[in-house]
Amino acid sequence: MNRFFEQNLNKLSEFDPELAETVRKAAVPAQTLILTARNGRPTLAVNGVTLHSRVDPEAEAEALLESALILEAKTKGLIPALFGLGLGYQALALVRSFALVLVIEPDPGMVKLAFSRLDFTQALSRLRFMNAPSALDQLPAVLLTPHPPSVRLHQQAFHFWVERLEARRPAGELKKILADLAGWEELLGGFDPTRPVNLPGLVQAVHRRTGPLSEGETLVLLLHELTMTEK
Amino acid sequence: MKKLANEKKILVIQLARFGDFLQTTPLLAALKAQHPQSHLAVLVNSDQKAVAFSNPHIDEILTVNLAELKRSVEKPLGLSGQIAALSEAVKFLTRRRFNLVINLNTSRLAALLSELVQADERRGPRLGTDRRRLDTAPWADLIMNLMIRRRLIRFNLVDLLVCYADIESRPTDGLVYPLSSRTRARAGAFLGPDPGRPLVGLQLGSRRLSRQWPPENFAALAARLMAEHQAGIVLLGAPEEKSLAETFLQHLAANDPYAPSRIINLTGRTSMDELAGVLAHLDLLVTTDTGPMHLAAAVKTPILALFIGPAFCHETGPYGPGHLILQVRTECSPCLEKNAGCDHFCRRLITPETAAQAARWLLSRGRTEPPGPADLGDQVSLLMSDLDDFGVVYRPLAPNRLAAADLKALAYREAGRRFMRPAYRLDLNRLVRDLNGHDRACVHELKNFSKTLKKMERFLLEKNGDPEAKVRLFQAAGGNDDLEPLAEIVFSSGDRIRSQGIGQMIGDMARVSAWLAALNEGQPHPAAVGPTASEALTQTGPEGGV
Repeated sequence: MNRFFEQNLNKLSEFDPELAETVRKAAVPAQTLILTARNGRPTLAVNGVTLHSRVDPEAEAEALLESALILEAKTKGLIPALFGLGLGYQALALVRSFALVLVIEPDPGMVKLAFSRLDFTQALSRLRFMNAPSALDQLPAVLLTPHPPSVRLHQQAFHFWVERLEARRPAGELKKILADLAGWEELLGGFDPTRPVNLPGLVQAVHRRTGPLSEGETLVLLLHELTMTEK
Repeated sequence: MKKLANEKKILVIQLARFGDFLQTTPLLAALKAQHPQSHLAVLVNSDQKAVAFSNPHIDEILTVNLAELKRSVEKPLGLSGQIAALSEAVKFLTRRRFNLVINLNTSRLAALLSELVQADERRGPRLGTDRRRLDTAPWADLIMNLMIRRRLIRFNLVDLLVCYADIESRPTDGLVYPLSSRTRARAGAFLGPDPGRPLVGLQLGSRRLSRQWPPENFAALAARLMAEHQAGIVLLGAPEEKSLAETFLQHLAANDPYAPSRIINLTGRTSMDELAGVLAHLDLLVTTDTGPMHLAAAVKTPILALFIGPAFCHETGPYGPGHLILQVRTECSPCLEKNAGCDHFCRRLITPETAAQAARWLLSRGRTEPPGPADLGDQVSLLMSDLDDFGVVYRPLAPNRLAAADLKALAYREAGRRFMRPAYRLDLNRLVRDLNGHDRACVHELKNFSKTLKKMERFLLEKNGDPEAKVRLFQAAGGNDDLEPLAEIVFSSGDRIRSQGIGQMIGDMARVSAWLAALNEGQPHPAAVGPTASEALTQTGPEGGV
């Protein structure tokens, strides 16, 4: 382990000594392979899947800040939850724009690998590592920010987190987010604002209603048609 | 239906494929003829933008990329994110207001997209009052229920779609695809100098294997046409059909190694416009049920169409008079698009010899003999397209081919069309002519039907209006295929009249059509006499015949 590792771990132990100890004891996953990008920076492949750019991983991570998801998070004051740490380039980019960034990385071995390659000391005060959904319960609105190669590697885990995050979004919050769409006010009026809303529930609510279809109701049915019905 | 002022805005939604768009062009022409000053917009899938662009009646093209729309909401955005993304993607629709929106597709997706547009009047399938099923006009309901027994259908899609324009007579100009002289010249360059011999185009590919004629059959047909007519053969098709063209050329070379060098292979080489230009130069196109077939019909090129598997010429045959159709006619045809487990045996029922004889007849403009019953066999029909007062019809050329199903189908056409064109009146003589006088028993039955029809018309005309009443036609449970259809009229009160048997069925349909006509006039028919619907129900019982 190089000098970054000890510095990062010491910093982490200031915020989360338990996790710091777990990371120290963890084994780096055997299937990982550290490569050198064209700009000389380290990059990573897992099971043949390259997790970062092989040309300029930092520039790639910066581009994430311009993505629609991140812009949405900024506009709506949501906390980005990065699925997959990799070597940490995306996480380091995000902390420059957000006061708090969640990192969903169930394998402490991956954290160990990232800590050994990049300097996280300035970022750790804004990073929070999550390995269980229960940790989310104390947090306000979160927007899951997938790191596509990580999603490809851990599809089941990713969908588990998507469902978990969605389920904790109460009706009241959805109402707030969608307040500018015609017809939402009435549609969501029937939901308990403290309980989560899912698409099948919304579709059922639309089916129960009468009168002309509002734009919001039509969008619910259209979304259901596009995503839930058999292709 | 309400008449629109000229300057109104109209949106027509057609999200299906290229051939379907071409079959929509008479509707667009009719709408523009009715409302010359209107702003006519269409919503099409983005890959159909080019063909929409060619249409002279369209003022605005809106496009939606359905695949992209699906992808945009499949991103892991969470429910609120998905809805926000969807809202953004369809914003171009929600911001628009039209006086009339006509949805031509029977998918829920199209119906929902049409609901996003603000409209004073809507026609075509839309979400029903229960917000689940699709609802549409009574005449369209009739067609949808006929779809259960497709072989009874005698309505071409073009003539059905144009009903949404509420026209009095059949479409005047057929399918529309204007060709500029430049396009013709460019297409001519593909074909080289006029060879002074007939040019025959072959469209080898089709949407599904079950609709395709085997490439070796096409090769045998080409060899005959080259040998007997010195015909120039032009291969047409999309880039993904190149392998089919290769197979065709290999089969052709098996008998004559020099033959492939005489073929003009344009597979994957033409744009839409160039393809239309090439088709216009041809003396004949041989094709299965494809988009190029409709394009050839639009540019008035004679067509020999091979209808196989799920393809049924009475629904989507080439529009316009004088085209020939070889229609497979097996126990199971027309089958479903996804007929898993079938070996598609019907692809081989039309022989190259029969196709060559039909092609020869078209090329000689009727101077030679068309294929007869001996050539066709029991499982293939030869039909020729013609126009009647309603639209296109396909009349059997070979005699003695009418069966009970044909008779019923013709009766459905005559009775059902009154729903769509209220001004139409039954022409029994035409019906008899359609039967070609080959089956005297059929003619006799038809005359009986006529009597029933008139009786039933009187029965219905005095009824009070019930705009929510539905007509359903379906097969009786356990009924013999094509022989025991059931007609049902469901009034909004829940009362229903159900009848079995062709005579009664025609009567039911005629009563409802006359009743609708009376509704359009806004008052009961002056000659109204007889019991009300409820009284009739009391007399007959809910399951009784009328």
